[in-house]
Amino acid sequence: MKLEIRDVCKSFSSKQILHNVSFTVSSGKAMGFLGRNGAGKTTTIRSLMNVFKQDSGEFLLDGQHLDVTKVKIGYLPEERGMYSKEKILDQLIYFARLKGAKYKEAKESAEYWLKRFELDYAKHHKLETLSKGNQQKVQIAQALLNDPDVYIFDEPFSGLDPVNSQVLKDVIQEKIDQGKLVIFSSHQMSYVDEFCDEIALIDKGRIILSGSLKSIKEAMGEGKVRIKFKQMSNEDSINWMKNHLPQFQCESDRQSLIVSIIDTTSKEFLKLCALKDADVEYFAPYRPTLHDIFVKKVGEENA
Amino acid sequence: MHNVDKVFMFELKSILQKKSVLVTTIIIASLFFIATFIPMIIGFFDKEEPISEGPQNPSMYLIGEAAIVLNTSELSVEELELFIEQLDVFATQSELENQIRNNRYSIGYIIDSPTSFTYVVNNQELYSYSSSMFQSVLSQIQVNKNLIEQNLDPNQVHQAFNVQIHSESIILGKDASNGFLMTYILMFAVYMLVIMYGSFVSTSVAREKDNRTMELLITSTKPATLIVGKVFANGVAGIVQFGSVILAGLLGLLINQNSFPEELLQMLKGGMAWDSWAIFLIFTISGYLLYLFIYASLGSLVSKVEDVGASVTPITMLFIVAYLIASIGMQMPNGLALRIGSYVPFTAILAMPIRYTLSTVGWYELVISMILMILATLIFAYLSIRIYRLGSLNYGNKIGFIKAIKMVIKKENA
Repeated sequence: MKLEIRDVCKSFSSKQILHNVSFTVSSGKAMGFLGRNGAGKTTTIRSLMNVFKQDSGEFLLDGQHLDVTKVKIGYLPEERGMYSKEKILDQLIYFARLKGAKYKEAKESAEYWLKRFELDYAKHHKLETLSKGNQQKVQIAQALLNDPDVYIFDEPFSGLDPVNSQVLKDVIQEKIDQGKLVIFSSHQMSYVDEFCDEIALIDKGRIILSGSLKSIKEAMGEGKVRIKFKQMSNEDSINWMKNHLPQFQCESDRQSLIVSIIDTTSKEFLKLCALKDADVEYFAPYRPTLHDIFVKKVGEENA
Repeated sequence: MHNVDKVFMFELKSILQKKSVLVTTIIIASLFFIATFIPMIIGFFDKEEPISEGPQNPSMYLIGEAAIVLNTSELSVEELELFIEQLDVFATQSELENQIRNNRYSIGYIIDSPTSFTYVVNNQELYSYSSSMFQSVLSQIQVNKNLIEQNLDPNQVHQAFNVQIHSESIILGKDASNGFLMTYILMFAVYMLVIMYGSFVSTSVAREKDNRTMELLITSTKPATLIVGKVFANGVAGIVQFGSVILAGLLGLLINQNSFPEELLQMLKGGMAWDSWAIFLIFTISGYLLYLFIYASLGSLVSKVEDVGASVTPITMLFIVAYLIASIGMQMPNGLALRIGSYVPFTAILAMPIRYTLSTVGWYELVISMILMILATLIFAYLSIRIYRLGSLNYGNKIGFIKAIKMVIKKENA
């Protein structure tokens, strides 16, 4: 399956929020829809879910107009909400049935996901009796009911502790491996860096970067290498570079030095280090983190 | 609309399982049931009381007890005692006033002449007939004196005036006194039903917005399905709750029917014919739905549950006006207010069944009113669905009902 978001524009009270938003998502690949708070992620997702209609542009699934009532979609809205005073299993069955499941299927699906999230003990409890994190898991379970073909998670990691974030990452990865189409939005880059295949970066309602994360990292890391010298702090390493190889510009992060080797190859650079008797502990091509990419691109846009 | 049954069942189950609803229903139904035993309990205690011998000539007495100061020699205590069962005479006004202040008597009379008196009372009640009764006593004594002066026998004159006229009535239309009690009970029940369940349905919609369930719901099924399911569930829950209370009352009535006065039983049993019941059901159900749809859409126009009260005030006021028209109209079933009210759908819910039960209504009037009511219900159901969709995700400022209708119409025409 391939979902195309094509030239979507949306205004509220004559203020334009989305400006020709376009990107593509394919099945079997984790798609991270990234942006700062208020960048337009939720507005795009709500337009996609037909919560409100976009002013112009279209959503196409395999080239056809996307009708959200006819495709099995698992949706986790940014505004989390379920019935706080209803029993958990009852309301999960209700939501599954509203999406077209028969009672038996709905019950089986709800029980499966409650067990998977280690909440089967609470299935007859009211939602309000659970902790905030566990309520969040029930809401995620709601999005997973009935084995949908398309999953749309709006900020799924917000409010989850590292253990539950990992549980969710595993579930998302499982769905991707099953060939499902998955989009999730986030402003927490570290959570999604590890398993995003594709990204679309939105800022002030405009897509400023989209495509394969690997290609983006390669392109943005071109001409830079990471190097770490044995038994040397980053500060000492920078001083060593200034004294022995002053022609190369370098900076450091918490891991190592990042050196620009624009006019030479990494092999040549490593040779020069060896000639200067450097004791190299670690050497690799530089690949920026999603956080670095995000900060750089958003910074460029706002410059 | 294929999910309406699911929404309906989920909502109905959640309302009927609420402890507050269960407890309230049980308490009110029990009270109604227990209330039907009251005549039997009173009867039981009445039997124990010894039957008093009563006065020798009870027909003459106009007043049971009176405290007086007699300031005239033209009237004697004996003359007064003919009409007052227990007469206490005091010498001075201050003595009488002291007795009244000390609550020994509630009222006292200072007689200055056979035709004038002053009455003394501690606290004047809004409705008190004591003074006029005493006036009758003095008047009767004076009339008798006048008759004797004219050589006429007072007893013969009184007999001559005491003519019993027998009358019977042939009612071609309806007897308002027959259906009055049952109509009043039903009108009050419908009033409570609309006010209570209107408030329930608007709170239920607002709560879904408040706890952010709305976005999940409207991405899972159509807004029309949600509002129709919700309105019908609340409607049925209301009928089930009120039905339980009425059933408890009827059961009690059946058990204790021998203890009730025959006239009261007749008023309850024979109050309404089957056609009146049918009209009552049609107008009540249609009007009830009309109000519930409006209440539901008003609930969707606020973001927080605590704002519901202010949002539904206009429609509640309108319904109170309908109730006032109906209750005033019960005294005058052919009056203009009830006539006009029985055509306006917002007031016809109460006005038409009352008018039909207590007066004569032409079939064409009934049909016109019914068509108007059903049309209004359908139009407002449609508008409510659109408003619900509009308001469901509006978390900003509160939108008024009229503004919401304008927005819906503008959107429809766009």
